[in-house]
Amino acid sequence: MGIGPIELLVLLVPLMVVVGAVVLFVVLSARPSATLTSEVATARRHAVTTSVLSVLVTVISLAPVGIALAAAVPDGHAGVAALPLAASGVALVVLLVGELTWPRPQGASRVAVLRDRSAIALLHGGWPRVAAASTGLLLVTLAVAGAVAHDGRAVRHVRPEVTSTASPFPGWTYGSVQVVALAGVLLLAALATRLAAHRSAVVTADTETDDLLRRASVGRVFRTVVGGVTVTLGADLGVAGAATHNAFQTGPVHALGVTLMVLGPLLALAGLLALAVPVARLRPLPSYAAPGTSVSA
Amino acid sequence: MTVSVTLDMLAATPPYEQVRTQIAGHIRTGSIRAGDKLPVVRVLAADLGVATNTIARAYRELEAGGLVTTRRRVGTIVQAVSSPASAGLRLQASTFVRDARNAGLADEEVVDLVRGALIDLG
Repeated sequence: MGIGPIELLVLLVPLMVVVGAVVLFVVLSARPSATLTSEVATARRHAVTTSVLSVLVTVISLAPVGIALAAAVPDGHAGVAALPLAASGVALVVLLVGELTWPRPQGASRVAVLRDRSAIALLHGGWPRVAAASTGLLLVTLAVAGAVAHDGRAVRHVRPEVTSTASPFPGWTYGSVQVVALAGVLLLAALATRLAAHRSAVVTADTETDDLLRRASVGRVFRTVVGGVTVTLGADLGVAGAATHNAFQTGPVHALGVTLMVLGPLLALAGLLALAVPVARLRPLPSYAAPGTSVSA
Repeated sequence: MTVSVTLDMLAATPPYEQVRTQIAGHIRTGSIRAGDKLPVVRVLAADLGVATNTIARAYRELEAGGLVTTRRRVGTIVQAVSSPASAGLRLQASTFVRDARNAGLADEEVVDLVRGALIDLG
């Protein structure tokens, strides 16, 4: 008897929770680096803790969110199709809370640099660009799949002698739910970016370090968006490929289906791996760091 | 050049007045030039850990003094100072402050010294 997706999830969740808890313990118990001021070290620890917590909360909430989605959408399968995006949304909410609880200036003497900060300026990094590209691809995929789908959920090949229909296919039955979930994810990402731009500066950080901490926060936000969108895109392409493969027994469309069946899971895997890619690192060294050291945010 | 504002929460001078005088000083010395944009109220308040009303009042006072102008969607922009200090005067002021600090005077005492001189000279 094989292991189904639910059983696999039940096995993986405790494992990931344990791994996440260990990472969180290491982060929280680590001594501040001697090359950082205590305020910068505290800020960095807060950012990393929030990031790890966002992954932990997301993993723990996968099953309840999936069940809630299945119950909320009339067609339960369509609701589950938005699970990766909903999971991104959960992670973004945790990151939002992290921005709201960012360490505030303490003490009698406080310094602020007089310069304007805008959320737009923070969107020039690599992660926002990748997020924009993957979001564009997902929307194009949904539009194309919606246009060619039969009944919003299947693909049909009409031939003189026989008509083949295969489903599920990511037509508008699934696509509309995903578009709504995507809108929610983008709204949360915009809110988190705005908070990252407007939150208080780290008291002892120079301008460069402060900028880096903000860029790193925005990087985490859009990395989460990339993860959810790319996994959704991969799943859509994989499902579309399988349906096309079944409906079109031969010919170039059949070949396209086979290609999508291979490409889809690879994309979904890439989306998951993207979540492990580190965000901005501090280079060159800040003035208070000892030579020969580097700081990762 | 990085232009900053320092707030002493224990000082007798209210925080809004500390912010106002320092920004006014930066404008008069040319550290902040006409056309430069000041941070939005919420950002500066967050950086200094004070209420937004504190910074809003400082900006209002600066606007009343003709040093800045606030417009919706544009923000708070520094205005051209009507009688800007010449480079020579700014240099003399810097030299005076440096000498006073070297003599062991606190910044508040330096300001008191200038106020006293203004009163003496009528």
